[in-house]
Amino acid sequence: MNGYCEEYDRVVDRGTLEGEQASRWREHLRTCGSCRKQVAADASLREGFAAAPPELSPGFEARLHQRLDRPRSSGRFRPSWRWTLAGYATAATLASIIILSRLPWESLVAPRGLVFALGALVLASPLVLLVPGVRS
Amino acid sequence: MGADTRDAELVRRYLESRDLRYFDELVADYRDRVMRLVLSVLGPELANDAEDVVQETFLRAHDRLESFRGQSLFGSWLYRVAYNRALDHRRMGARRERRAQESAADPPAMVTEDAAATTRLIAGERNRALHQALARVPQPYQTTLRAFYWLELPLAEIAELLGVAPGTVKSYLHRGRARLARVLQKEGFVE
Repeated sequence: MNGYCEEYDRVVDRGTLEGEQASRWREHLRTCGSCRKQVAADASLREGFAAAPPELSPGFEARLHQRLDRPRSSGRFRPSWRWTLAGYATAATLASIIILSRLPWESLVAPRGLVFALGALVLASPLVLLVPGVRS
Repeated sequence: MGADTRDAELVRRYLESRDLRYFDELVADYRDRVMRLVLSVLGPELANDAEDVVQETFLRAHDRLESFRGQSLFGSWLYRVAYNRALDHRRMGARRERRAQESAADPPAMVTEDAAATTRLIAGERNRALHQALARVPQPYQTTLRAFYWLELPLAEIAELLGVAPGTVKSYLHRGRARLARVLQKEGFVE
């Protein structure tokens, strides 16, 4: 940052300034345009947060206990990348099977058929992700 | 006994006995700090949802306590759970807001002859613009800026909540301010 004064950082580090430190900072501000600019920007940012932050309500613990007592499902189904990939893999496998079934039997032993068969296997391989115990 | 050892002991006792008093002690120790972290992520726009997110954080922590094996400190683990819950909530909130804006008709023009009301209106607009711009600043800068300027948390606490060194928080503040200034400039709010 152009013309950035490190004195500002030191003030931020200290937090609240009192006594001697506060007067030294005021003195510094009179001579340092960069810090004055920074302080003005800070004030403007703080003003932007006019609303006071809320606090936890007094019934927080009681409400938490109620929710803890309620039975909860151990894991809600959420579509994940594993299921999406498995979906694509299933579709690709089906498409490969359809293509293979339309080929004459003799071509299955020919290189073209082998390429198709291997391709189907590779495309279907993400299905293994759905096997329980296989973790991402 | 240090706070970390105490936390680990409370977790162990709770898992052994399932006596909620042990878990309650953890909640009492961390609830306010978790609330501050959640508020820093959500911002004033979603502040009313913060308590729900804190509740969900403790519920999730409770349900996954078995998986917390003390490899990290309980506090750091809990803050990570809270941060992720709050980020998820913020993303959902942003989507809801976008949908609401898309479906809303043009807002009625606000006309007022009351000077104080006009000033409040301008200040409100300016604040809204600031929050919208801040929401476009990448994480973790936007959370750091809210924690520092809105909640006025000391650097050490922000560092603890985000699980980084205080020096890193200072760097987040520098970069966050610069990013925010760029967004505000791009939007034409500042020259």
